[in-house]
Amino acid sequence: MDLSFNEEQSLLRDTFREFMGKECPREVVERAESGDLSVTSELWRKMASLGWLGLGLSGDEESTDEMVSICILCEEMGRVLLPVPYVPSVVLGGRAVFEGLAEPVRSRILQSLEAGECIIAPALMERNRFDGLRCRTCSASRTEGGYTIDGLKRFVEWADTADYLLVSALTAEGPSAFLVHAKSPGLVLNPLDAIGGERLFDVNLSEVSVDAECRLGGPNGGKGPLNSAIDRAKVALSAQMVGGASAVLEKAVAYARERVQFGKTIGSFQGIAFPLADCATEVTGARLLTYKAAWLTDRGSASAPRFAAMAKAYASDLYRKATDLSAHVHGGLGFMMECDIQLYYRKSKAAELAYGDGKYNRSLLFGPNGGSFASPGEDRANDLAKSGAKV
Amino acid sequence: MDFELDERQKELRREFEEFCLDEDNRRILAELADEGDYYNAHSWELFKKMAERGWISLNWPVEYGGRGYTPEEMTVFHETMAYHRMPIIALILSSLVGNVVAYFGSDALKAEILPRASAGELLFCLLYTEPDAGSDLAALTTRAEEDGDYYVVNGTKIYTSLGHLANYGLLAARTNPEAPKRQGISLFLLPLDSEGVTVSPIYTMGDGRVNEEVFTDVRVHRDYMIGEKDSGWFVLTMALGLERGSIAGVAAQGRAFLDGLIDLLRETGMTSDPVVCQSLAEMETVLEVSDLLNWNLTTLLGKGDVPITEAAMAKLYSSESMRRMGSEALNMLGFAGLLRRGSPGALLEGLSEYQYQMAPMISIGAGSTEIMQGIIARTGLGLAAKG
Repeated sequence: MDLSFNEEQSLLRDTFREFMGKECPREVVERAESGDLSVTSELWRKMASLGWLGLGLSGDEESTDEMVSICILCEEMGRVLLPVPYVPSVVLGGRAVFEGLAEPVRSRILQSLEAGECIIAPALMERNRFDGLRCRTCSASRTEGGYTIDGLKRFVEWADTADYLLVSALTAEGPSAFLVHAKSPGLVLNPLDAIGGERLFDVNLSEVSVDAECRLGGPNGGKGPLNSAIDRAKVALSAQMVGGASAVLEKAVAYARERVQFGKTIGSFQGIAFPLADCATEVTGARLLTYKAAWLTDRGSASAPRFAAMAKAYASDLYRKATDLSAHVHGGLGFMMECDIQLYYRKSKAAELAYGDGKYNRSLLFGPNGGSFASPGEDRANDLAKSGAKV
Repeated sequence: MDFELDERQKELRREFEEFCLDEDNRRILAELADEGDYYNAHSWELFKKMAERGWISLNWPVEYGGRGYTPEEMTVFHETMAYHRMPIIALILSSLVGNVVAYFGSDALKAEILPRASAGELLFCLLYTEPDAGSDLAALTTRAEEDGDYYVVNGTKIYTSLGHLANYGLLAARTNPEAPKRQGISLFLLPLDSEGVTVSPIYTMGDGRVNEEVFTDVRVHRDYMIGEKDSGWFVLTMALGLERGSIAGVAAQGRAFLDGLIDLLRETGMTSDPVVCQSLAEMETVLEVSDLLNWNLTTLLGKGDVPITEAAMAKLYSSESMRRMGSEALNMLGFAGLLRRGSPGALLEGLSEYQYQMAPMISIGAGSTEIMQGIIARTGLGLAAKG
C-alpha cells in the first residue's frame, strides 16, 4: 500500500503542470469559449506531438498504470480548464474503438487519434440527462452492407469539430454503438448555447448509413466495450474535476490570506477557515478515490466499475461544492466576470452532469437487484474480509 | 501508487482475524456486549491473550520488547480489531503509555512499568481533561507542587476512560503557574492507589462509564515524572503522534456496521427503496474515502513524514462520517432501530442504537472536529491571523 505518486508519476505530473501553465493561461480558455477553434487545434497538435493522445490505447501489457497516467494528465487539465476534447474523444471514444472495433478499422482510427488528426464525439444522450446505454428513439436496423440509424441524440459536445460520432442506438440485440462519419448524409447538427461555452449540439440522424465493421463489439455486441469506455471516461473526468476543485480551493485560500476585513485577514475567521478545511479534506479524499478507481481499472479488477461510479459521484458533488465555496469566499468579487472563479463555476456544472451526476452514479451502487454491480465487499482490493461473525 | 496490502500485511491480517473470529473470543465478546458498553469494555481474559501475542508492545522500541511494527502494520492491526469490535481501548492505552515511558521515562519507571505493561498486567488511563480544560487543554489547572523528592497533586480530572480499573494514570498537571500556559505543564505516571485519589463514575449514553478523579494532596515521587519538568506539552504532542494509526479504527467500525446494515436491508427487501439506496451509496462512498484518508496518513507515516494535516483530515472525516451514519441508519431502520440489544425485535444485536448513541463522543474525543478544522486551516492551508 502506498497512496502517493512514485517518482515517475511525480515527474509526469510536473511535466503536465508545466505544459498547462505555459500553454493555457486564462486568455486561452476565454478565446476558446468565444468560439476560436484555432486555440483547441493548436493545443491538440502539441499534445499529440508529445505522445499524450495515445495514453491507454497502446495495448501494451507492460504499461500497467495507463489509467493512472491518464488521471494525472486530466487532473492538470482540469486545473486550468484546458479547452480540448480529451476525455470524450480519447478516453471514451478511443477506448471504445480500442475494445470494440476489429482490424483494420481499429488501427487506422487509433493511429489518427494518437496523431491528433481525428476527434470522436460520443453521442449517447437522448433526454436531458445522462441515462447510460438507454436508447429511447435512436435505433439501428440492419441493411445489406451494414446498418441504418435513425433518431435524435442530444447535447453532443464537440460534434462540429469531430470526424466521427460514437452513436449509441438500439439494435435487435439490445443497445449498441456505432462509429459514424461526421459528414455522413442524413446527419444534421443544431448548435446549442450553454453557460460554460461548451460546444453542444443536438444531432439528428435520418437514415444514416454505417458499414457493418463500424458496430462496436461485432455483429451482436456493443454493450461491453461501450460500458467499459464510459467507466474510464467517468474516472478521467473525476480527475479533471479534482484538478478544477484543487484550483478553486487554492484560489480561495490565497484570497482568504490576503483579504482584510474587520482589521484581520478573513482566513483567520473560523466562518471562512473551517469550510475551507472541510473542502481541502474532501479534495484529498476525492483525489484518492479517483486514483484508486484508476488503479483498479488498470488491473482489470471486477470492482473497477463500482469505483468509477463512486469516484464520479463523489468528485461531481465535490466540484460543485468547491466552486460554490470559492465564489462565496471571494465575496462580491466571486460574482464578477473579472474573477477567475466564474469560469470554473460555470463550467463545473456540465462536468458534474456528464456521465451522470452524483445521484445517478450512486443509484448504480445499490438497487432492487443489488445494484448494477457485484455486492460491496466482493473483490475489494484491500478491504477487510467480510466475516460471518457478528457480535 | 499501490492500493493493495503487501503479502506480509495480508498475512498479519489473517493472523489478527483468526484471533477475532476464534469461538471462545467471540463468546467473551458477546458477554461484554450484554453488559452494554462496547467502547469502554474491558475483559482481562481477552487482554491477557492479546498480551501473550505481543500485541500491547507492537510498536514500542525494540530494546524495550517492542516488535518494531511499521505504521502500515499498525493500521492493519487497528482496522482488523475495530472491524470485529474487539475491545481494545485498554490495549491502545497500554501501548501508548508504554511508548511514552520507553521514550521519556526514568530508568526506574521503565523497569517498573514496561515488563508488566507488555505482559498485560497493568491498565492505564489518560488524566488530561478537566471541567474547565477541554479543547483548550493547555488551560488545565491541576497543580503539582514540588516538595523535596515529591510532587503534591491537587485538582480534578474528568471523562477518563478506564479510570476505575486503571493502575496508573498519565497525568498532565501544572508545575509552573508563572510560565506561559503551554510551558508550565509536566507529565506524571501517577499510581492510582496513591493516598488522596478519589475515583467516581460518570455515566454516558450507550450504557458506558467514564470517571472523575479528584486529587487531594496526592504525593508522587519525582521518578514518576515523564520527560523534563515543564516539558509536558511537548511530550503530550509526541504521544499523540505515536497513536495516530488508531484513527483507522473509526472507519473500520463503520465499515463493519454498514456491512451488517446492508445485509439486513437486503434480507428485509428494503433495498428496493431508491431513497434507502441513495443513502447506502453515500455511506459506502464516504466510508471508502475515510479508509483512503487513513491509508494516506499511514503511508506518509511509513515514509517517516510528520503528516499533521493529513492526520487531522483522517480524524475529521472519519468521525464526522460516523456521526451522520449513526443517525441516517436509524432513519432507514425506523423504530426497530431504536431497540436495545436483548429487546424483542432488536436489529443488528442493538448495534444500530449503539452507533447512534456513541456518535457525539466520536466527534469530540481525541480532538474535536473544530480542533481538526483549525489544524488543517493553519498547518495545511496557512490561514493564520495577520494584518
